[in-house]
Amino acid sequence: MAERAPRPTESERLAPPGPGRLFTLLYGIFAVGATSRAAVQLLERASYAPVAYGLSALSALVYVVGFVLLLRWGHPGSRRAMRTLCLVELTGVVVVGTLSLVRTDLFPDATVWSDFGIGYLFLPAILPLLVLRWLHRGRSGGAG
Amino acid sequence: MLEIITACLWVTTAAGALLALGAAVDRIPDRVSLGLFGVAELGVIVAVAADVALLARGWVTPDLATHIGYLVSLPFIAPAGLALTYKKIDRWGRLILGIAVLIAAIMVVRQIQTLGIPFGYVNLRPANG
Repeated sequence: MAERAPRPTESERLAPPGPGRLFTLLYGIFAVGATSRAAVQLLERASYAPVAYGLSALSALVYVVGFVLLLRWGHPGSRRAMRTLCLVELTGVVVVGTLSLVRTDLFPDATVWSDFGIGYLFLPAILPLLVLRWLHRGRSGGAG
Repeated sequence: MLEIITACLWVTTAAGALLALGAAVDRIPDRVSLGLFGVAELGVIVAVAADVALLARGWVTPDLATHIGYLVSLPFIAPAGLALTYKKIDRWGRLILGIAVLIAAIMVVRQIQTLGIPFGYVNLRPANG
């Protein structure tokens, strides 16, 4: 006699499929890391590099929102919201990455997105591209 | 103490690499995956404990606040990965565990760096160690 599978909990029901679970972990770690970094920078020496530290705070906000969206996956509009967030994130990485190379005076200290995320193995640049690809494939396959 | 932290770094890295490899071949049993995860988490906890003992002995770090930040968050990285498998130790679950453990290993490197030891010299005993 086959055993009945246990009913999934609310969090299991809202879990994103496949790679989405991995993206949740990565966004979560970036959310904690970027928030801690921005908080220390702004609390200890905000006037030293206000543009850089402000952008650190913006990147932290993006990762926190991304993490929450992935944690609550399956709600109406979460796919569209995640896509918009990834585009904002990608734009931020490209703009901040470029500015940090051509306007070094604005960046006396590094942000998460400086030099296209070199301090984080370029994951800040790669991650939104992977998520956008995952979202596109999910839509093509009719999932979500 | 530094030798213990460095040994824990390699144990955690090896466990993470094996988990990632397990995800690639997709043929290792759940118990082995969870065992590797347990070994990695134990390595992380021992590394943190050894670090705390080092600080208690009077080791001076260049930035104590950042270092404590790493010490506090480090033990939660791998368990966060386990939670995000959503109890499904399938191929993606194993990869999530592997990536979480490898990130924990990178954070052990950062932990060593924030002790004031430049990366690449982690096996050398500094003057005040």
